[in-house]
Amino acid sequence: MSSAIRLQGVSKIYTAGETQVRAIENVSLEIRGDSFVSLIGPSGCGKSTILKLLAGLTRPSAGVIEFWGKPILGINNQVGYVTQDHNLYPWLTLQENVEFPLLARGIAREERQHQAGDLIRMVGLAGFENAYPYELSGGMQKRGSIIRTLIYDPGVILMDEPFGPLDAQTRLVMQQELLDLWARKRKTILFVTHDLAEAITLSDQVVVMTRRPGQIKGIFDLPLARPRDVFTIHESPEFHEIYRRIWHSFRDEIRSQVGGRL
Amino acid sequence: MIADVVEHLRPKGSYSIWIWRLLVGAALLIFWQWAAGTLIREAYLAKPTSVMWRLYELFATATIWVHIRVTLTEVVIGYLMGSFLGLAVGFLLGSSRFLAVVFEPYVMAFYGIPRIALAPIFIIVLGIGIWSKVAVVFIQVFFMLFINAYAGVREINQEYLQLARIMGAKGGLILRKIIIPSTMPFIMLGLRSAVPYAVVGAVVGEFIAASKGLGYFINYAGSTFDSAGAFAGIFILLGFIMAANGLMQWLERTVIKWRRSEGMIVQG
Repeated sequence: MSSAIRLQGVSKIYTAGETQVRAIENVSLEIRGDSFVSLIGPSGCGKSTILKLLAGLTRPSAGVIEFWGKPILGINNQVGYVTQDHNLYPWLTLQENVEFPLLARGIAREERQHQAGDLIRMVGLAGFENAYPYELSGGMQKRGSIIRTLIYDPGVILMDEPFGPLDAQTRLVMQQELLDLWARKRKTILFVTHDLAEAITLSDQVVVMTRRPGQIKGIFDLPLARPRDVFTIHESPEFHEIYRRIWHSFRDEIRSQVGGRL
Repeated sequence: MIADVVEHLRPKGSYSIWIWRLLVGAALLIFWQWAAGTLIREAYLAKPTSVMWRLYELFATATIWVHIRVTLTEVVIGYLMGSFLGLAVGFLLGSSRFLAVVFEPYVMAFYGIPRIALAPIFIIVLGIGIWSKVAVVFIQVFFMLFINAYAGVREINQEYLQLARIMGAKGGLILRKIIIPSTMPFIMLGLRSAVPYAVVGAVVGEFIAASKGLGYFINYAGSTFDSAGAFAGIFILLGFIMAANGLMQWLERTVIKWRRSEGMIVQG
């Protein structure tokens, strides 16, 4: 399988007036097509910066980024981007929100309605087509923003702590739904989280980053079988073993961050 | 916390609130009726009954219509022109950092002066006909809409725009589906707040120099010690503003269906 994403020696420095913030430094990473990779690290370690670079929202200060073997020039509309906030447009109904990417691609009304309807039914939101986002629960909003991304079938989906704002139970349900969706519509997913259990539950590979300026600390392949059940996976000994191994690496970063502050 | 406050502000039974409101209004009217002629000479302060009688006369003899028509024309033309241009310039400066930086001192200077003070100049330039008042209304409304549209564009959630681009949307679609709807609450607020300013602009313009219009009518009544006439004119203006406000609220509810009606808190 070819690389969907390749970063080679990528650094990003943000300049705000006099001060310069080194967000990430010399990051090299290769992500296989159709794999589910989680990016984990202490807060402010530049995880989101990597997603922004891949979406073309910002340029690297140094290094090379390749997307399916090609450089990223300008906004990358070959990716899906699921943010921490659902970011459904409040003035559009669920149906209109989900149709939006197809509208942007000039697809005819009937086809848009058909495809959006299918996805809405698939995630169990039938009957809420004409609801505005404020009328939906947190989990429903999140489903909406995920299918809004799936509808235009991007090869790569970037997810930036998508389940962060949800309560613990809804989170588990959403994780299971995401796994089921992913099993059905194989995509390359780059998933940013600060929750190690979530990263292990979902991914093929976990990338641990150091605190700022973010560098790659370790890459862990997960031997856990699929399909996975998010409600029971925590009970398996393999899960514990891999959790312990990654946690050792991750823990030091969090601890040194605390030390740095005190 | 917020829910508590809202709960507190919301009347328990809207009937009792309306009864209290009417009672307060009635008490004020009764006091006014009594005070005119006892505390203040009737030549200075007409009794409400004579104001009502005068209103009836004015409409029955149709003498007021020409004044209403003139003021209404000035307000509507000035308001429409002011809102269109205010919105256009607000959007333009809001979306271009360069233009915003270049024009900022001029806009601020204009914003700082009381624009109503420009009325005499408009009359010198445009004469005493309707167009000088249209200009006063225009300048009042223009700034209201400009400031609101500008703020609205500046307030747009940047993630909305970035996601739209990632999802493949281009300029025109982004303007229609993201920028305009997102600024709509600001625009509606501007449109609503501009109504009284527009009426004030027309009336003040007519105070200064005019031969027709409600401002002229009130001013004339005042200068001839016709207190009932002046009050009659003021009541017509009041009706004017209330009708326009009702129209704006209806428009706002029709245009913005997509959020909880926060406006309820203010309206009680």
